[in-house]
Amino acid sequence: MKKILILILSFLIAFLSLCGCNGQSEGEVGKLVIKIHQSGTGSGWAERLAAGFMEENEGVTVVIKEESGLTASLNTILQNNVNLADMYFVLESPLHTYAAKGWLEPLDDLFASEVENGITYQEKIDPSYLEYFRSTNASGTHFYGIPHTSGVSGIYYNSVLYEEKAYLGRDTNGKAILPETVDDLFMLCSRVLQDPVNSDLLPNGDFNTANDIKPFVFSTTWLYWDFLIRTWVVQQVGIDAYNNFHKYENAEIFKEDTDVSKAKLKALKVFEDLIIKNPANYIAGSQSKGYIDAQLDFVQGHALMIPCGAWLENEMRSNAPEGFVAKAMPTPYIDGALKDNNGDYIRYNYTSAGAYGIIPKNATNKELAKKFALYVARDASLKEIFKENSIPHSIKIIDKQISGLTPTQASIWEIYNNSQNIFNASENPLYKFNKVKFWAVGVPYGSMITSGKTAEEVIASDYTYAKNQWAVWEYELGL
Amino acid sequence: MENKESKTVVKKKKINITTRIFIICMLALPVLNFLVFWVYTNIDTIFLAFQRFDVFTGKYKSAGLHNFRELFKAFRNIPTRQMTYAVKNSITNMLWNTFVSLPIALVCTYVFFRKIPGYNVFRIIFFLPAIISSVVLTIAYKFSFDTSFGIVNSIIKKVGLGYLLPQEGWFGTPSRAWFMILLYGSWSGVGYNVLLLSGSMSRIPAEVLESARIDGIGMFRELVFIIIPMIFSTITTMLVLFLSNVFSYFLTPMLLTGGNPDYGTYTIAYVITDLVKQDQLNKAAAYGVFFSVIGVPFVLGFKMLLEKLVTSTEY
Repeated sequence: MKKILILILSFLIAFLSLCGCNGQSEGEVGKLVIKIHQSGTGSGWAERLAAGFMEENEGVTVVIKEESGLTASLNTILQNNVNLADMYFVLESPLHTYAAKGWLEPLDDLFASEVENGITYQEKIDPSYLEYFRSTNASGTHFYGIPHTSGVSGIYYNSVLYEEKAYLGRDTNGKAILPETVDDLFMLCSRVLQDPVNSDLLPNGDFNTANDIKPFVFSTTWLYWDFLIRTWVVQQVGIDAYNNFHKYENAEIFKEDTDVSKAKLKALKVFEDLIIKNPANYIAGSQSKGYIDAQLDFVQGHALMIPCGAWLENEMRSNAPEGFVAKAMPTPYIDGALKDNNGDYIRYNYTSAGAYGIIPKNATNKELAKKFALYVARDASLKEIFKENSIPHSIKIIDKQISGLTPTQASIWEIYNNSQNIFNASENPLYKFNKVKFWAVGVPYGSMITSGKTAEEVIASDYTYAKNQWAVWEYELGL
Repeated sequence: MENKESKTVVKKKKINITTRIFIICMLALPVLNFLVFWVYTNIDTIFLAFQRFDVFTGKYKSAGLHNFRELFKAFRNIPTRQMTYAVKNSITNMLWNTFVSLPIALVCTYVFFRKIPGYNVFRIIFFLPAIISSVVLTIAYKFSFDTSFGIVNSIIKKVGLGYLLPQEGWFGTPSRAWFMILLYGSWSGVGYNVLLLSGSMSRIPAEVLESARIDGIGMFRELVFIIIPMIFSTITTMLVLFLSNVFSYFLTPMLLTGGNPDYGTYTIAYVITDLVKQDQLNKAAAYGVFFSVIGVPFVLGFKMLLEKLVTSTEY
């Protein structure tokens, strides 16, 4: 009897302990706690803005915490509903699932609020990107995400070396000419290989080119090649066709004879010619490297170019040798790229935007968090963010005048503000809930370089896979 | 006198209540732990395996065997071959541990046990990886083999064998990358294995070994015919651990290669971890249930077989 009593009481204490696991927030009223995923975006921007925000709002305290792995743990944090911060900024992750589970605060009032000069929050977001933050679930259709970083993604190059060598000649101002077309890019690669930089003179008079600079270095973060390939696709079909593809109406959009599939094939062919068939064009073992190793190779001057994003400068600040300058290059135009009425190529920029912020439904200071989001959306704040981390924000800056930029930032600013920016967003739940993607099977570059999968096979397998899985995906989402 | 007795009874009762409260409190924590992390998690996982998440209602709905059908489809998924690699890698890891890592650990332990000259140096070399954080260790290991900065490549080039270096890097093909992961496993795991084995070896009665040495036994025969049979219960435990690793090993490939190249370094547990990361909890649960159903009887059966085959030595 006593044993049974002990057991019952033990269970009772155990269950009572569980009662402590109800929704709790880390924040106190008036103390805004913001957690940021530790990445190239950094948290310096938030620290800066927090200081201004506190000055403007007396009695308010803002606490910024940077955490590694926050994106991966956000699901658990929101599910546990314990020690919630008031705001989280994370990388691309299942925003719409969190919304469907009822963990997020709807932000329609924030989107309708005025930021400054009569312009609302919603008006400051690219219409093609707005859908990224809207979700339909049991509680209706609402905005749930706070726009965060956008970007200039594509080729970054060692500008000091490039200016010194002027591989493709100089313009009338004496500046080294950048490759305008993909053909120019191939020419640039061959000239880099013909013009040794780090070669040692061997005793027999030959040059040992083993340690010489290579045109490219890249990493197993294959997504970085996608920045280039997708831009080449959009250059051929235009941004409307690209956005149309993102409606994901049915599996037939992956069929080999559609315009987008043909454009994909041509872009992949360029990748084959540039990288797979020409191992001399990249540092040996690039397919073994992590992205930090590849970026280190780049800033250490082992390669002229790297496929990367605007976070490069911020991420590599402590590793770059003195005098090293990286710049973003407008993506060279592929054969068949669209031109405007004046016969000039239309310039596109792949933003790689996807990071976002959220306010948990059970956060303590939800209204204060929204107020901070409005503060961040001001032109002056957005400029400060850019100066801090070199990454353009996905909220538009109305007054584009800016000063005091580094050479890297200046190149990013120029491209971002003088291109048609590509955002990935779709109304289709299949896309929002991560069932169907631009590459149905997955980003293909790793398979192409490692297993010898051809461009044609990539396109064909994407179609077959999408056709086989489409009904499954719809069933899984309850469509 | 009577008063004294009644006082003792009261005191006894008081002690009993205090003891009972103490026992209850001490039991509560493990019970709670068991309820939350075992009972609830496993029951929930089984339910999840037969459900799907309806995004419009925000609720889980019955999906029958759908998630299991998707699992079997994944084995036939030609475009990525992720599951094929995962199963193959998980099994080769177990075989590698059994036939390579374990013998290395046995020899090392024996060297320390016999105090062969220089054993202290080896002890530090082998134990060092066991006390360093696995994240730091994997970064250091990967960096050592980097094609541009790696010390291993530099040494190989310096001794004039640069032509032997793989063009695509040490982690550039699925098979080589997996071999590098196995190698890392042996290097980083040897300290832990030695720790387990040396505890067991140190308990062997000195007189048994002394009498064998008086009979003129050599080191090889001492290890194979006396020590190994006497510590076989520990070896059995290790073998069972290696076997259960088939279903739980994922951290090293995740940190070293992230499943690259071309899904070639995935393991069963890593596929499940990845599904959780992609918020495909129902599929992850179905994979977990399926491999548990296969794994549990397999591991238990293997343990029983070993226990039957080898009689444990009492000493």
